[in-house]
Amino acid sequence: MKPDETGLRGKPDPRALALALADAADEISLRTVLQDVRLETLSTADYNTFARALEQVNGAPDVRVAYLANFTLDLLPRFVTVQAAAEGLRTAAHVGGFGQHVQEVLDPESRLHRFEPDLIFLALSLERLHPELIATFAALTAAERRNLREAVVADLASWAAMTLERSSASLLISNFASPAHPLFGTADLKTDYGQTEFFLELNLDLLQRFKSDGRVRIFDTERLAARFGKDRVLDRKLFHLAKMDWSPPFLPFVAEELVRHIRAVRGMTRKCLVLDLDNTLWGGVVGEEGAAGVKIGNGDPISEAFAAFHHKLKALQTQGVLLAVCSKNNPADVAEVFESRPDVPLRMADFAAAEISWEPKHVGLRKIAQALNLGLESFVFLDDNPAEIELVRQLQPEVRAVLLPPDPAEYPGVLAGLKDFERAAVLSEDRAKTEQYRQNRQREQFQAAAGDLQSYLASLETELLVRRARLDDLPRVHQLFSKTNQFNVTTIRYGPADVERFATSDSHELLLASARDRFGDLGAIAVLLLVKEGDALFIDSLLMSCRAMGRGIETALLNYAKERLFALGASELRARYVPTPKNTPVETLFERHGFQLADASGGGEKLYVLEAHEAEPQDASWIRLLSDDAATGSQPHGR
Amino acid sequence: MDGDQSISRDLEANLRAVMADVLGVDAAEIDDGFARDVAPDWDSLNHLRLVTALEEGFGCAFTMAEVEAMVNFRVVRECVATQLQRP
Repeated sequence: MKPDETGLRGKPDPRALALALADAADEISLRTVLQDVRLETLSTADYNTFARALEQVNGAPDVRVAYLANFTLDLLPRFVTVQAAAEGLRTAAHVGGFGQHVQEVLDPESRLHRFEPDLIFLALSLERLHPELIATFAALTAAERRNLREAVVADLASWAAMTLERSSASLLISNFASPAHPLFGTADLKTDYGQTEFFLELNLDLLQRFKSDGRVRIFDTERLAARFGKDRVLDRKLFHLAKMDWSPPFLPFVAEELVRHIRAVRGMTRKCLVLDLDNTLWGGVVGEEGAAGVKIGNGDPISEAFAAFHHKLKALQTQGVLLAVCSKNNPADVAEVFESRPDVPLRMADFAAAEISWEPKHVGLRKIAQALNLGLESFVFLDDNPAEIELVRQLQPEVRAVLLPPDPAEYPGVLAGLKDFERAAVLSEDRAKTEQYRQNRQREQFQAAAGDLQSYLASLETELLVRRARLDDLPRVHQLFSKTNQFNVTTIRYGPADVERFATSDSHELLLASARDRFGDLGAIAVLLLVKEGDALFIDSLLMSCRAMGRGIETALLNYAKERLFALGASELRARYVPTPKNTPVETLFERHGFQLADASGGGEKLYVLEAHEAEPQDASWIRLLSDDAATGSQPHGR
Repeated sequence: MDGDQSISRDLEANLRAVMADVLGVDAAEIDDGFARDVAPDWDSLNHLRLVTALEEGFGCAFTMAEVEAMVNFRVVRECVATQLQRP
């Protein structure tokens, strides 16, 4: 390829974007600056320009990321800064000393500990860990190679254990990319424990070792390098000159993946994907071509491309993402497609909500938000029409509005590129989300039919099981802490390390409540965190999933707290309310349950007290409260 | 270095702009004598960034010897010129 003699290629003016990045006042405006920039085509120079502008900004970062490696990784943080800004997050970085990943953890005064990271990223080069063994890999016996694998995994496991004890950060440990060209060529796969087998087992071992640890995630460098092109990951001259194992062009890919992990660990998961219909879920306009004329299903390449998109959407749904439709159409036309064509992979029942009318899209989105009892910031919106995307971006900037490209073959790629659905783990609860929302709509319809509230509540036949959180409950507990906004009295976003601490500490009672009613299982829907403070019992957190609100479960939970007050012989129950824009539903929760206001400081924060001799359970007779015997004092199972 | 070591005025201006951007100086300050041991921000990390920016911006791939030799603007200019002459 002839070199480009004109120097820097044309781009949207980077200086203007850099200024906008520095000036952005909040998450949404920060995210908006880069929303149309294709980060994968940005030059390193532009990444630097943006990163430098972002680094000038004062104020607390959203995420503190530490980078530990035994190769030169100093260039990576700037790429992460920019990729994070595209998600509306500000980051701070600490790059550890070369090869100092053990020392910086062991030394309590190290810069790593003083930095107080939220996330520690560890990337190790196999070659630098075991230079002689890797150099002579071809000459090693199969047994020696197995030993090497076991040693690497054992060392990583002990580093992780050591770091988890000394830091409250979550850990992100890179796995190992197998070389671009196998040592024994095509014979590698026929060799007794060849190089390919070694790397496969090494990475599988790491995956299995850390799968159930809530604070450790594997960073899949092997997959990332394969996707990027392993030949381009290594720039040999920089490897020799600067001990850089990862070339500068690879770093934006690494950064993008790292930001996905940040979103997952922080519980920044959007809940609902809203889709247009015409030329989004099928080819053509149903109002013009009729239900039989739109392209979806089998029979021709375009229909099959749309069908493939449907299957990808169903996969998202299995992870816990709700699907909804917002389309300008006649409902009858739309219904005909789903009812008369059996080859449409998505069915109407797959959508948790559907707004099909001639109203503007932002009105439809708002109605969907109301129907699902979600905020607009929970939404991603996909449409093929740039005018609709622009409308939603302007009127509802909290929504992530993404324009679909002209070719439906590329739609799955758009889904894969979204970071909004990254989550800490896929729980069995998540699979049933659509079903839960469907059950909720049934409950609402039932309520409309029932006469008075009391008989309605009684007829729901709600059962509430309250028990101490066990280790396998912790991911769900963390999820509730991260995502609950409305019914949340203090809105403290505890991380996985805190949650683990509460579950195993003698001075805390971390309680998880699950509910079911005559329509089905609502799942684990509330968390109550009690702290023993001397003679008193303090309600540190009380939060409930919005789908369980409105039936008095909070009364049953506070009755439970009062039971604990009596059982522990404490003198008083204390509570706190911290106002946020979202939690007005619980502004007077404690007043309504007999608590006395002890202090109301500026800013709306309220402290409450309920003396033991004044504490009385309140009527919640429509809820059958079941409590685990284990909740009355014993510890959850240890590791 | 072999070959014609001159480059066009436009190209030289672009080169100055790239270096100025990476090294945090004014393009006007960059003359033949502008050197690593003098410029305060021309540390080893920024040298890597400079090499990357030049390779991306001018579509070339320097040798290790060239990267190590680029200690001042004159040598940088000569290396870029040599690179652009390569078929």
